[in-house]
Amino acid sequence: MNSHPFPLAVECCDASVSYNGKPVLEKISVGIPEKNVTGVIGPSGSGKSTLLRTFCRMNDRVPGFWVQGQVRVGGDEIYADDVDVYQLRRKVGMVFQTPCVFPTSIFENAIFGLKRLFPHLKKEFSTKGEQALREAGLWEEVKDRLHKPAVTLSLGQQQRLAIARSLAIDPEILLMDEPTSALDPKSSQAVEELILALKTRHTIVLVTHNLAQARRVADRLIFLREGKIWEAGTTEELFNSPAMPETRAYLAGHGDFA
Amino acid sequence: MNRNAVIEKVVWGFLCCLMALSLAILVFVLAAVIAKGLPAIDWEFLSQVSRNFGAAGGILYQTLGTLILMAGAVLVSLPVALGAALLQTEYLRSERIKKTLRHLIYSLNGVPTILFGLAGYMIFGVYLEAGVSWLTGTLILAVMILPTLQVSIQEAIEALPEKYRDAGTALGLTPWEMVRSVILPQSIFGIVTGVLLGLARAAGETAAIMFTATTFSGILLPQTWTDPVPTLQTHILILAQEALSPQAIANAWGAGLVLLTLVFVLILAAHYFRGRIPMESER
Repeated sequence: MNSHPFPLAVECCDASVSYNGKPVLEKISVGIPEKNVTGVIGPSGSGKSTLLRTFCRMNDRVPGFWVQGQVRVGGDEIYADDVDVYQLRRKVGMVFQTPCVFPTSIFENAIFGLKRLFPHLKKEFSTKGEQALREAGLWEEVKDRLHKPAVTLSLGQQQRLAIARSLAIDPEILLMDEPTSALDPKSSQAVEELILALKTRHTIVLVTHNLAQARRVADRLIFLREGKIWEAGTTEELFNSPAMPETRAYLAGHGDFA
Repeated sequence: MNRNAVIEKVVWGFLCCLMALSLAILVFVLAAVIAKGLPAIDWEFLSQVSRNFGAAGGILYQTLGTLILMAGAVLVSLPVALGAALLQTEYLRSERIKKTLRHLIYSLNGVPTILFGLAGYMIFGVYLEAGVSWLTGTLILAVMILPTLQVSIQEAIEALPEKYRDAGTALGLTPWEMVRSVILPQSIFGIVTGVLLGLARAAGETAAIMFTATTFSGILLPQTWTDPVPTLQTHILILAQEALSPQAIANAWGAGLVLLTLVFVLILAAHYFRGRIPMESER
């Protein structure tokens, strides 16, 4: 694999985000190291999803969306005027809360992006599709019914198919917005195992409400509250010796309901 | 019974009367057209050309003329409507421009159709020298159904669940790729519904094509771009106004029933396709 010159995959410097003048994130400064799982935790409405979506400019379509400060991916400012946003999103993949498969076959879903972004690689579609499905831990389950409609899969499998679809275009960074919250425990476990397997090759940023999950899979944690980074550090640091009383309260299970 | 309950009863009764009245009118129109039109209809009526100024023969060319105008109008209007809808949903970012465009489209929808006929004839008939012809009529109808078509296509696209758009965006699809591989395949039933409703509107239109596309008699299928065509709508109008023989009047009712059936089938088909839209998002 190509080696990255920058130890930080994503870096924010005083980044503020607002919708129609209403601030959602204020003065965020944080670095996300490569080939790590960084968990983003915090109460509902603290801006976790917005932070994640800021990293691949998913909110460009949202009216009144405004970013100030710097957000860098692989060392390059992504909100500069001359940025090719489509190129950026190929480098920074994203998986969402609700599994989303397109109304076509399992295999066509796996190569959905690949086929459209790199039509000249036609000969490699089948190998790359298989590779992505293997990487997503789905190959053994679907290899005999690749051409069946993707909706025939269980929700958990659909989510892994969505991950495979992202992996097929080989992103450096994978953003995951509560990827297991719509899944049953067994499927959640499969996705968690997948996340751990993926971090050897990809940088993963995981938004989660599930603190046990954050503890199991994240190397580092960012605790967001009211649009600000309250605390960030390794998972152990935050769980064992949180610096802020709010972090302690949240991690003790009171934060979300307070 | 207290006072409020009495008021509720009165209002309820009043609304029921209004409802019954409008239903009665609808039933009366349908019954009249069917009762008076059905006797006129047989295979010869549908398959023969009209003779003796509508008093004899059938309505073959009138039906074909109506179909030509309708199909032509949709063929011309669809690309424009689709383009306008996609421009607004996929490309334009400014809310203000979108809002202005939307108001314009809705205003266009409210323009009396006779004005479309007048203005359209000025532009296509006189200025572009197409005269009273099926081409002029087609273009006028195309402009006329444009708002219906555009609004329903846009609504179909906007009804697409956000998750598909998100998934496509996250893969790095460009707007055009998104349109081609996500938006259009997923909103196809909504678009078909829009087209059918547009067709139904074109089929019911008389005023705008009366003096721009058709003449009453002596014409067959168009041979050139600037030939007029007969249509069911004008056939009914002229027979009802001017015919003296009872047979011609009966034929007008027959033509009316054929037109009504055409529109009804289109609307039924539109309902069928609209019914399939929720299934798309569940797939």
